[in-house]
Amino acid sequence: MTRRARGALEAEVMGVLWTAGEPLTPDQVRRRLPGELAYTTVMTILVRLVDKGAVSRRQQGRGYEYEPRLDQAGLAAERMRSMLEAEGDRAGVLSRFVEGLDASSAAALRRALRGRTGS
Amino acid sequence: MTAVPVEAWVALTLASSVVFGVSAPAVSRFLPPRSAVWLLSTGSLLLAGSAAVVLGLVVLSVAGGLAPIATVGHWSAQRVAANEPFDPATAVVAGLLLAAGTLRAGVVSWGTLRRVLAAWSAARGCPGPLVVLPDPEPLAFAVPGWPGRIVASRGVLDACSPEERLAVLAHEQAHLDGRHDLHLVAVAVAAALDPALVALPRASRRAMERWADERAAKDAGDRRIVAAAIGRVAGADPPAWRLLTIPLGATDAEWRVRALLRHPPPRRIAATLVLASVGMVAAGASLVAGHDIVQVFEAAMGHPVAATLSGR
Ligand SMILES: [Zn+2]
Repeated sequence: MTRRARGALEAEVMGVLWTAGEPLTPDQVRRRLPGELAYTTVMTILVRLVDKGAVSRRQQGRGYEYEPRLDQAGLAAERMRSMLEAEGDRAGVLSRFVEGLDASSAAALRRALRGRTGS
Repeated sequence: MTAVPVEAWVALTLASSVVFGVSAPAVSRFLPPRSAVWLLSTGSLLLAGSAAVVLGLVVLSVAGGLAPIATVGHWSAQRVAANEPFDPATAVVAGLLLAAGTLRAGVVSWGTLRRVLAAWSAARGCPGPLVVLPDPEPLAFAVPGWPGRIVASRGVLDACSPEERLAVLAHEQAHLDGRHDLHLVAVAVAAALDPALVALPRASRRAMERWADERAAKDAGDRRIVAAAIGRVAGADPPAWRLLTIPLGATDAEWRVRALLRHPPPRRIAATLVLASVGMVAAGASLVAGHDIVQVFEAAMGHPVAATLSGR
């Protein structure tokens, strides 16, 4: 695992909190992230996300547990959705991770993936 | 005065645009994606700019031979007309091309600017780097801004393994960190101005995807994880409203996967230099053409323009 961009790390921590479905302690977040990250790194990112209003924390025993702020998340999702609907061809948005595929090209893609060694 | 006539420099500039417009998309496929993106956007700006300059010069040199314009400019209409290398018909065609290109570039700039501003304002209102949409189908994209945001659906977060999720998020972050929105705007405006560059926006988008894939592969530590993530996200049928948007083309996802399953792309310094030099030739030729035209006007004014401008 090489050094990751800071922005990407923040997004990954958010991704972990979203998929967890329950509040997580910093150590639980660290263990659910791929690779070996220092506890302090995860802690720093969590604090930054709380400051930004994206994550809320609550006292749990001697430490804190963290979860996405659903009120803020709902508003953000609404904003993005209305922006997308306003922009028919969505040129303001950088292209999606994978664009729509028709059946034959999806099959070609699967063939290409099967060709890889290992898994 | 140069031995080569000004028409030749004008033709060379316009020919460079065509050569770049035709060859750059193909050549950029073999370059490291980061170099490809930079070369395509700087090259297209240089070539579209040069083409616009020489078309403007052709119009100017003929218009300068008309009496009313010569009166305003305080030069001799007869002397400009006597040295006039272009006939009026050529100037009319050049003028129409330039006007159409400028109009198109204006429309594209305005449209793109509006959409980019909408994206920026949407991104500003969102806390944190990741916005999650409740949709079940896999969907991930980057919304540029200061800072930009990553948008991902529940579908993509739930379908991916932690490693694949990392790859998807790192890919989108790479679009934001690389300021791919600005590259997109640059190439779109250049292609609108210069019809010879019509194939460049798509080539640039393709190179951006590869750039983001390579960055994600670095972050994930394994190229195959990124390839697997592309396959995972592409697996489901996209909803109809997304098919209405301009698709990158299915072969691109396939091409990305194949590229990821190979070794990282080599540098290819020679190809990069050849492509960059086409842009330089165009810019240089347009400068020489400009110099030659200015000399015609200098002669017609009875004193050197350059000397007047430099205050000497
Ligand atoms: Zn992408």
